[in-house]
Amino acid sequence: MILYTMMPQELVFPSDNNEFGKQKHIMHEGIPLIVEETGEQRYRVVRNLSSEPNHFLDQRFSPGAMISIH
Amino acid sequence: MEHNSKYTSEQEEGQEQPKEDKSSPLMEKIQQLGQTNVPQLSQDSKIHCLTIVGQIEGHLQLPPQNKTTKYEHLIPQIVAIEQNPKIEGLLVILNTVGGDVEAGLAISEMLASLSKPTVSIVLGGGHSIGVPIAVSCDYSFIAETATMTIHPIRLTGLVIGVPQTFEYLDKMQERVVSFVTRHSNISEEKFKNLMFEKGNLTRDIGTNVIGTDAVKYGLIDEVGGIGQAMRKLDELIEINKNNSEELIQ
Repeated sequence: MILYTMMPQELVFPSDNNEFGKQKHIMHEGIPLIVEETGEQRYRVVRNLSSEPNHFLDQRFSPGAMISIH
Repeated sequence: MEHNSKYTSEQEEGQEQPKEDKSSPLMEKIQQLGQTNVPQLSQDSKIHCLTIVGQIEGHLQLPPQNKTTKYEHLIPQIVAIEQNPKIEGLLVILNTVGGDVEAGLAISEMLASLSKPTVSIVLGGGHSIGVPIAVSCDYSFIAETATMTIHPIRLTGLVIGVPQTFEYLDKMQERVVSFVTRHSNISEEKFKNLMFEKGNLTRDIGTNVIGTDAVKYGLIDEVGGIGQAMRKLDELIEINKNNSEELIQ
């Protein structure tokens, strides 16, 4: 199927609501992070949103790192 | 060759074989980051860095597979940077395709009104609404290979059916043009010429401005990378400090 349209893809094919649920925006030890849930209270860091360059040097919060939140 | 392979096999025998099934912290790090270690700095940085990547997300939340910069993330950070006395300067790194006009203008206005020195670098691309964000800083850099697409505002998915809608779009357009011309050295006439130019973008109006051309048109201040940008920011911080000291005296 070829669809010729000006409409953005997300308007034509709305994505599943639970897709949005996977990623969460949290504050962890004062650092804003976008995380993805992998298990019970276990999260994988997707993105570090901090503006402090030194936070990017902390390997505990680098993308891919696992963190647990209690 | 044979000597070499013999040497390595001997070496391996001498060492303990690492277990492959058990992933060591080092292995994990290599898998995640593609590198083993990054230098650690102890003290807090006096320069903060905002990265504006992917799409600039506005009122509509995009599905997670899109890489986006959300204004609700950036604006509180800019407020925090403004009120934190330890932060002396801000570096803005852009590699964006553009996105929501109002969200982009909101970020631009926040950056333009920040009292601390700001320097922006466009790497890769700073297209569409990325243009006002790039020029909103006190000084702007563009990488030699980076590009900026200047084109008129469009609302995809909506049909312009009534003159009011068109007028609204025209006013929105005017806001972008006036912001860019106020915060850069480009003239309104030149900017509009680039915006409505034919033949540069296939079957579309607009211009794709590359590194040195952006500087030539006065849109961006200088061609450069991270080194020059940091030096400029330090310079601006120094000027800012001297000015505030004079005020106290």
